[in-house]
Amino acid sequence: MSIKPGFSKDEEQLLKQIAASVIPPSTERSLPGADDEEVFQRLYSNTTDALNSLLNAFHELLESEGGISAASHWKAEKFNDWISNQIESWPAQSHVFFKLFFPLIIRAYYKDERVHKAYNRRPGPPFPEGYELSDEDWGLLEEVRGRPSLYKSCD
Amino acid sequence: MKDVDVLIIGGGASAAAFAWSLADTKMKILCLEQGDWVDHGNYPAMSSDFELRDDFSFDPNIRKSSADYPVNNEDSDIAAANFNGVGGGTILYAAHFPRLHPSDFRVRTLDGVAEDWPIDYETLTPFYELNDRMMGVSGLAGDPAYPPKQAPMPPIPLGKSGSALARAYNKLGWHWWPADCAINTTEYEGRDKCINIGLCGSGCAQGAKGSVDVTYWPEAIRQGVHLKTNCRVQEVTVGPDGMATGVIYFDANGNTHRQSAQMVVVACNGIGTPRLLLNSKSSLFPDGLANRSGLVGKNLMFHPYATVEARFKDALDGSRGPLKGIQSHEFYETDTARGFVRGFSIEMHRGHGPLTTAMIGLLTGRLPMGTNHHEAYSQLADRIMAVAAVCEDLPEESNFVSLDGSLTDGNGIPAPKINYKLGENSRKILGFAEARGRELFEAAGAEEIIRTQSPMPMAGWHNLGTARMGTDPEKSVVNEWGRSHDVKNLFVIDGSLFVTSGGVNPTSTIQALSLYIADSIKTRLSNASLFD
Ligand SMILES: Cc1cc2nc3c(=O)[nH]c(=O)nc-3n(C[C@H](O)[C@H](O)[C@H](O)COP(=O)(O)OP(=O)(O)OC[C@H]3O[C@@H](n4cnc5c(N)ncnc54)[C@H](O)[C@@H]3O)c2cc1C
Repeated sequence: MSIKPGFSKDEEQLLKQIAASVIPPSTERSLPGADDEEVFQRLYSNTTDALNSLLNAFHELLESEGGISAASHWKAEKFNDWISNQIESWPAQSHVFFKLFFPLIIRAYYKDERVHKAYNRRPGPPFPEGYELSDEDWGLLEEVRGRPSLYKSCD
Repeated sequence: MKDVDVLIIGGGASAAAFAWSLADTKMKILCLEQGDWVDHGNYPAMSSDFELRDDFSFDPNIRKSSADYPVNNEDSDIAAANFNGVGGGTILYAAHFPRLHPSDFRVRTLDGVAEDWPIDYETLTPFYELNDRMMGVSGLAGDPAYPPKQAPMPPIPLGKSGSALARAYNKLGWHWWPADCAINTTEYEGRDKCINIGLCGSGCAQGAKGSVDVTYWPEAIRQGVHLKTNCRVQEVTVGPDGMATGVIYFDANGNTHRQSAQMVVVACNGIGTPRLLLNSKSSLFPDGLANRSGLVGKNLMFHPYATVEARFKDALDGSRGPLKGIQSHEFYETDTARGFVRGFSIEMHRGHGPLTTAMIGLLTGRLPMGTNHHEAYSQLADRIMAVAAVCEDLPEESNFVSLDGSLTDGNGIPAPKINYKLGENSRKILGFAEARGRELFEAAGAEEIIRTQSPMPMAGWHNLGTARMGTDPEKSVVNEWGRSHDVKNLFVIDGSLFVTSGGVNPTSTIQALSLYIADSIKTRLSNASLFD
């Protein structure tokens, strides 16, 4: 089922395939890929304003590759090379779709609590728990204490 | 409301301090603020969307709330930033709370540029002290960069980021000191201490940051000051005798009202104030109110920021903890060997949240998409720190706020246009400061510099100089205690007053000035010389 109007099932599948290539899952780090359902839902809901532009750009991209059927056929064979090219040429030479897609998928991905956890950040809103901040070594200030005045006296 | 004694326009940093100070006169004081009280329960820190909230952006052109007015930045090297609502800019400010230096008040005498202020550091000292107590300031006595001073609370913890930077300063032999910050490090005056949420810049959900909606306003209101929200002032009106008679304002429903007053006090900030005065035209003041000098809106100063961001090998604090921690004034005073006059302070910017880190990684080419993505992100997470040089900007008449010919706010009132180009001296300071930032991070053992911005284009959050104070009516808009030279019952009390910008964040000085003006008014009330 297409989640958002404007994407056919095939299109969404291709979009997810692209997403998984740009941010792949990592079992070693316990990280989902960007094709993860939750991440995608967030992409759609975060992106309300930009979604139309993203959709249009996606359709343009498909057209430039000969349509979805050609793309799916084509992706099976050369997908990895094609996506690597797009990644390497980002942002200057890449298709406008990728210019839009990369920041948007990052916004959706790095809000994910599983991602936060994997990087030692407590998931959820910062308030009310807050965080610890170490007080470290105030002895470092000894070098500065007692230095002559730095300010100009104007008397 | 019937005639009031004192009508304050704007409910931000300066207005709140002023209203509180004047409240003990038992005069009838009314403040009209175009925005509303901010609901602390709606601050970004309360939601997991905390890095994605445009409604707390510092850019009014992005925020676009009904309280905001648009700003045309097309002809400016730096875009204006603000917050419109009870608290004004203090809702979003980082609460870095340094004072000016004594030399800042004597720039003409010492360096032969700009003008001297009509007051000096000593005049403001008691008001700085009072303001530190009211706002709740943390810091440490003994800073060699300042005459003796004592903050009411101990400093913000160094954290890993502060320590890394402190070691680098020591290696270079440069000055550093814990920054004065209006952030509670202990419970203070009924407000909790900071719990290191790290989102000072989008409103403090804990209430540990001294924004004036939690410091001065509750006290002022308790003492009888009346604060009316969602009231946008269109113009200040004048009578045939050239005295201000009150204002015309829009309420939340777009209806206009007149409010009369014995005394009108403008506190709309360095952009909002000239905008209002320029919009207040009459046959007596065809070029805008209080503008016989032609200087209303002129001499706009920002602090151009030079920022340097670096990546470290080991994890630092990330966004945990207040944005600011320690600062350096090593390059604050003029040293002509550097090729420019005046100088800058260096602030620490602690670090970023997960999403901001990824975006910076993407934009700086440090976060490749594809197979190496996660490895690259792990090299960035909690490992980015920035320093920002807050550079002194000299007043130049060619930098000014004017009224836009076509852009208006929701009530059809002409919006401000910023006309601002970096001056020669500011450019030189920026270049020098950026080089020092690089040197500092090299000494700190950073792996690499990942980004520099000089000037930081979005950093127009210190809006200064556009209705400056002075004794000469040809060279200033208001006198040495904030009263308009042209209109004897009209006062300006906000950042517009600044004669020079200094090289530190201005709010501590803005509020000390407004307390000093309130005090001057009280003295003149008692000897009946207020409107002489
Ligand atoms: C993101 C950010 C970070 C900052 N960080 C720091 C910092 O760390 N340290 C520091 O010292 N400073 C900082 N500042 C600057 C600080 O917020 C300002 O210096 C301070 O708030 C200025 O005080 P003010 O009284 O001049 O104006 P403001 O506090 O801006 O108040 C002006 C008020 O007037 C109201 N107003 C304007 N026009 C009208 C009208 N026509 N009718 C009715 N009401 C009107 C506005 O809604 C606003 O509430 C920061 C600002 C921003 C935006």
